Amino acid sequence: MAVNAENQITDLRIQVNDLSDVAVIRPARQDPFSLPVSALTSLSASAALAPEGRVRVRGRVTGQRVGQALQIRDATGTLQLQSAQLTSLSPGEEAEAVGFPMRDEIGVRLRYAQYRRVGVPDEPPSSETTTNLPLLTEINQIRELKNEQAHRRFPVRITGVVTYYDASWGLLFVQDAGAGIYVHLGSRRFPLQTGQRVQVEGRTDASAVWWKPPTTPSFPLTPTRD
Amino acid sequence: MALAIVDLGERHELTVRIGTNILSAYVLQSPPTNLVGLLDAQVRLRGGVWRGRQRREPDHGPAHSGQ
Repeated sequence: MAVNAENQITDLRIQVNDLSDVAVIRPARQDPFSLPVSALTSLSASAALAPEGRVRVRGRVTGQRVGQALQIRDATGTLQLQSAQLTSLSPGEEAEAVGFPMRDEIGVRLRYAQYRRVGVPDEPPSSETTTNLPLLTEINQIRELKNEQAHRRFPVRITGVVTYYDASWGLLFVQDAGAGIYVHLGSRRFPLQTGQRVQVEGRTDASAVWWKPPTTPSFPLTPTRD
Repeated sequence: MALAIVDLGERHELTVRIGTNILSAYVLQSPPTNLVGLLDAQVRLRGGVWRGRQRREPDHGPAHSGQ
């Protein structure tokens, strides 16, 4: 085994042959953000943390190291979240997160956390203002929109190939003949693979700030049959 | 003891929690997308324990211990 300077085990793995050797005792919740919200102090004060399953918390952002940690505060206290998510939040913004509460030498932290701004829905609600907008069928059409245009939520139906999909963080990039684009999945997950041909239906949105132009179609998404 | 799947890595890797310990589990013959629904699931794994290389010793290769 690999050990560190303190002779602690640092590398121990379980090798499982295939999925038939994985017995699911309790399946995962479909939408972790549907969990009831736990007060932050209820996690810190609990001597025996819930040994299994995620919890959901909510609070205002007090600090962040993007890609590493996020700290939030609610009326009862503060909590640090460990997260590799790259979404940048500003102090004072209200956010909610799901993750696994674990106690370590620092105290209780929410590890492997996913978070999002409160008030940003997974799927923009339909609006009468969008009914007369043209359907966009090519990614280049979406990318040519200015931010204020993207905010109008043009209907989108594009067909392309999955170039990147990370189910852990809900990251999906799709490429068609002309360009690629980020697809905002919200909390939904799909059994996608890189190289798979999919059809994405949704609407443009300018809320995602780390794609230029920040235009994101949302779902439903339907893998196509070739 | 049931294991909690707390993270899904690239390829076939699961991060599992056993009590207060975090371990990696590798499903050797499964496409990674099949693991997607396992995040936050409680599972029981059947497999071998692989211990990494001993520091300052020659590489003896992987060692398996069946359940």
